[in-house]
Amino acid sequence: MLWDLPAPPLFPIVLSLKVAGLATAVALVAGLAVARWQMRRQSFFSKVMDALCTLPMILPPTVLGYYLILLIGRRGVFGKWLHESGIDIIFTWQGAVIASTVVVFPLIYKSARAALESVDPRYEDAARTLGASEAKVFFVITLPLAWRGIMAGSMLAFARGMGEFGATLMVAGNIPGKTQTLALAIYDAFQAGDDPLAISLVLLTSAICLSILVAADSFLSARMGKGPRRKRKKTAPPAPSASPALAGPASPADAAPAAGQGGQA
Amino acid sequence: MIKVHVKKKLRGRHGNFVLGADFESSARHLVLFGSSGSGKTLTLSAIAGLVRPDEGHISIDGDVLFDSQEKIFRPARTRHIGYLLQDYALFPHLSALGNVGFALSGPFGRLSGEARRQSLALLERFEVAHLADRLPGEMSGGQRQRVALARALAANPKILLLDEPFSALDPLLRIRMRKEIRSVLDELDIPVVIITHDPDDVEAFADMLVVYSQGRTRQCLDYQPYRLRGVRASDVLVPLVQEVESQALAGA
Repeated sequence: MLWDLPAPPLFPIVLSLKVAGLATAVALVAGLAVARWQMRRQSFFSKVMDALCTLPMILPPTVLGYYLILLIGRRGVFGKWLHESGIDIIFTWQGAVIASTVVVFPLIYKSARAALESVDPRYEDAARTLGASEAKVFFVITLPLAWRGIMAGSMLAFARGMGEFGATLMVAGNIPGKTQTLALAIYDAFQAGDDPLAISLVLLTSAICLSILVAADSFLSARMGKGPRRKRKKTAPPAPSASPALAGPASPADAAPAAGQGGQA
Repeated sequence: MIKVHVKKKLRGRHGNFVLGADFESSARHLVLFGSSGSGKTLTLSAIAGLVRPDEGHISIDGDVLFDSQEKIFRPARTRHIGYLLQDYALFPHLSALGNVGFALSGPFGRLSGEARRQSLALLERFEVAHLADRLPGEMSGGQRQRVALARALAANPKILLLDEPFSALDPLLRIRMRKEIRSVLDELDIPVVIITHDPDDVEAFADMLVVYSQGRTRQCLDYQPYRLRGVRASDVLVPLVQEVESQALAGA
């Protein structure tokens, strides 16, 4: 029964959250920058760029892992140089972050580009005639208006990062207590025939990913609603929960004020 | 004095659209008149710097904004042109104060105390100071128009472009806002270009009239004599538009 299952070990959970969180953060910055660059571009070059940025979503994770080893492995293009200066990325948790970043990047890039392009360009035009630089147009107008879609994409990316297996295994290995994430720990437990441990880890991973998906959906449906629903600063209730990953099945109405406050920062 | 001589070709799904706009005017209130899709908004976008024409020349009071031969194209943000877009395009996530203060705010949208005071004074002037904290979605059509006009004026523009300023309003409000805007514009000492397809707007504002048809400016005429004689706008426009349409048919 459920209560007979062993408590899941803490290390893989913490490591998975840490790796997925950092990978999402790095991919968010990079994905936003590329999405802004690609925004409303139609040229052939831009289409090739778009395909390249989407590729990690379609390629087998082992292919990505192999590319990464070619790049940052001890004899890799950059890895060789890093190795000489005493930095090894392969078989470290930082390596897992790099692998996850590459895997989740397309999810963030795609949703960020769609969200940015869904902003009515007339708002940006109005801002330009009011003397705003392109940077000000982006940070004060476009980004806040696209924020919810970008947040929803980031949550998907975080959930995907939590489940990353193939590329992480190749780049960071499967070292218990060092680079063993949830997905790898499950594989280990299964291989060792430790079914109770495997089940408890499987259920835990499912619960975390489910909560994230529900939270992401709440963000999106709030975004689809008519017009901005943000409550004004003075009357806005405190945000219901600080951590979206643990927020659980939040209703759209709960998510809306929280998203609005994020959007105006 | 505003000089516009531009050509711009747009490729569309339903064939190409060619804009050919030619007019010069030193009138205080210049009205561009024509049916929708005749190229009026594209002309304003070119003046504001949001669209780059293929060739031609645009200048305001000798200040060259675009010249294809001299390869001059000043970006919109350096043109100091107030542009009231159709339906106003108020920033939906910013309050009335945030909208009006946008031009005065810092690179990340921060309002200094002084900018805040100036924005509030502008809202006051348009009698919407009590709405300072409201979002555009929480305002009526007339309130939105006032906030949008205050926002355009906050940047201290050299010229004001109004794109169908009254079409989004219901008929009674339209009459009232027309009077209000007219008196505000009379107080301001800047030239105004207004787009419309409503003869009442022509009657209320035009000093000079440019008539568009199928992407081209077909007629430019000094409207002041008609106003002084008290002629109704529709009596001037109906024969004029008929003439212009047949001219377009024959020419195009």
